Amino acid sequence: MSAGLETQLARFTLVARVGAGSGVKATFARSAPSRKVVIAYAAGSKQASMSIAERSMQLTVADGDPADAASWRCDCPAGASQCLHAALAARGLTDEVAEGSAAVADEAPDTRFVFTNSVAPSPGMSAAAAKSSASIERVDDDAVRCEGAVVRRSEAGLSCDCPMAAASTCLHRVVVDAWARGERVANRGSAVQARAGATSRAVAEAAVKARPGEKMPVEDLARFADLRARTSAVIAELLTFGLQRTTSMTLERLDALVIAVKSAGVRDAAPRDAGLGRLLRTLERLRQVLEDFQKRLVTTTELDVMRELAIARNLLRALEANTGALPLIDFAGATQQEYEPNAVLDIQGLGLEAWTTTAGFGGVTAYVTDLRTGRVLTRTNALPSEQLEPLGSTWAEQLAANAAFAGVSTTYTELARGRYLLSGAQVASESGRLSGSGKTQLAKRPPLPSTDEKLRSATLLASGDAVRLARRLAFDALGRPPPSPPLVLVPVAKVTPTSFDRATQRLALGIITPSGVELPCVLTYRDSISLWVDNLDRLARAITPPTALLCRLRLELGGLFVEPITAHFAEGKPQHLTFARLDVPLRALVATEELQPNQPTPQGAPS
Amino acid sequence: MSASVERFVATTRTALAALLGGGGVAAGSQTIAAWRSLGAQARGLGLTELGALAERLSTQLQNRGAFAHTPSQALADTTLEIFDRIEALASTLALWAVEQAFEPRQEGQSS
Repeated sequence: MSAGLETQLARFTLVARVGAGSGVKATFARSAPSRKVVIAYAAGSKQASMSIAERSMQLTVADGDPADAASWRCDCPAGASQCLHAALAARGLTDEVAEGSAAVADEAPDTRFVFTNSVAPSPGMSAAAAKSSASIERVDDDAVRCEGAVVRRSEAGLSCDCPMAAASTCLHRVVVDAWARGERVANRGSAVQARAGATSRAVAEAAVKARPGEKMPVEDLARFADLRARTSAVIAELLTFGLQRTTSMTLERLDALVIAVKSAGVRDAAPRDAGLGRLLRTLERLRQVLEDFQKRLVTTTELDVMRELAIARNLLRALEANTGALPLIDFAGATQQEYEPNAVLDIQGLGLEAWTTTAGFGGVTAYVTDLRTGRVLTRTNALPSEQLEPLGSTWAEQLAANAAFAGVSTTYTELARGRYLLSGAQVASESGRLSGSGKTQLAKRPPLPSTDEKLRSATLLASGDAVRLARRLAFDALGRPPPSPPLVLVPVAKVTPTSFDRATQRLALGIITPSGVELPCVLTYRDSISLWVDNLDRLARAITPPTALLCRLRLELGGLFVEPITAHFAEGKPQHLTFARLDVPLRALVATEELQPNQPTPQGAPS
Repeated sequence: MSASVERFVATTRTALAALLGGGGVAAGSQTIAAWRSLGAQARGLGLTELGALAERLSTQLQNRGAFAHTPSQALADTTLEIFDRIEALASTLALWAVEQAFEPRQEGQSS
């Protein structure tokens, strides 16, 4: 597929797919310039008709799989070579419906369809209709299609062919009524209206495939019985005798258990996720927090250990119950991370983070967002500490200057701020990690400013966004990771001055959004993040605040907390706060609040 | 109501941290009384199942001689069940706080 065709293809989003007895109908939408493509597949999906604007095409499957674009033949002038229509026909059968993304324009309102029924819809139905993204299409002069239903007008009022046809009203009739009154323009309207409203548009959850419930095969349950018993014994021991009595031997026992769980693997004939991958990752985290706790790291508490113990216990209980209600990946899981191929990804870099872990690793992570689904994806370059030491103090710059994918020259720094079309990319479905596979091809496109409407689904603007993002961070009893890493662009009106608590070694500041909401940021000082802490202080003193900040979110009792990672300014390149000293004009300091980075304060804190 | 539930969540988290730190076997009479009190508080807040769990934990700790030398699976189960419920409650409270933080600004457009 040519780069030009990929570019065109990536601009279309599947906004609806309706199944019917006679076939399937898929609708793609493109904004700027606005275009709607409707594909009607015949039953069996070997033939399809496509309408784009005033034109229509006929497509047939020559041979092979209808989900493969190469199988489709189109009667357009492109002839035998692959065309946009064939690629869209394949995508119409396979793409996830991006609910809430660029909406299809409705037909012009027609006041003849105003619902005159005397029975008013319930408040719940009215609210559902107001939130509905269903499009309205004209069927004939007296009928319109709303989702899969046809609403017809007559002297008696509106009638619908949905299962609620006999009821006095239904969701379709309420939606059509709102459209007829011209009220849906406000609900689904322009970018400015969408930005002002509370509508949450991100669809990262939709990008993760829903899986059916499965049972773990009985022979695997028997195979894992000993490991389950050993894990239960460790949990009971830690809670009965306490963390104060743990020693290096406890860590060695956990290490042995981790190795045993890893080596159990997945049986040859078993389903791919019929392993103990999730338990393995929980035990690895438990081992890490236990070691941190023994080292008396102030950021690790007993509750961190208890969280991992609770998740491990819940996984064991789910394995024992084995009801088949959950997909295997939720409570069992492969021991190797699963990467899935993606035909085309249209990505925009959001930021870059340099980090180190107490486990002895350091690295850089580029954060990008998939513009079609709003999901945040990551690409990481990490090394063990022993290999970072020879690189000296500039290890982060050196890692960020490496090629982000095998066989291409684009670096991590470029990936973190540019816009690219990625073809052949592989993504770990669970964590959103991009693989560095040499099969990945990149085509550069003009980068988007942080205020661009296309970045709306990766931006925290309104209540709906905040609740959606916060839900991802709520406690999950099985330790399932969120469908998208908890990173978001936060528009900034003002950054409050910082305060530093010497007793707790905590730096605090607030990010005030244009709607007046203050998002708190609290960081506990450690030597390894001194640059970050220093940059946050500089950010608070910047004469011109950033237009937006890429922030990691944390959910705590008091609400959402943010950790700014990259600052986007109206002019110049984005500045990564964990990576290099923030280079912005600063307000003059009052003598008492001046930072003196070269004069260590107690425990090396900046103050 | 929300503030008293928040205080209850914070107190229970502290009690859980202390229990894991020292271990059930080292629980003294004050710890046992504290868990009984937490059970009563939970019932007072309408969290009856959580209250029953806290009281069960208090009883298990009272009979701690039984697990002086053998780890107690029952103690672990009760403690972790309480933790699960408290974290679920904390998440709900946090989500509520998020909604509260954003909603008034939207209506008032204060900025």
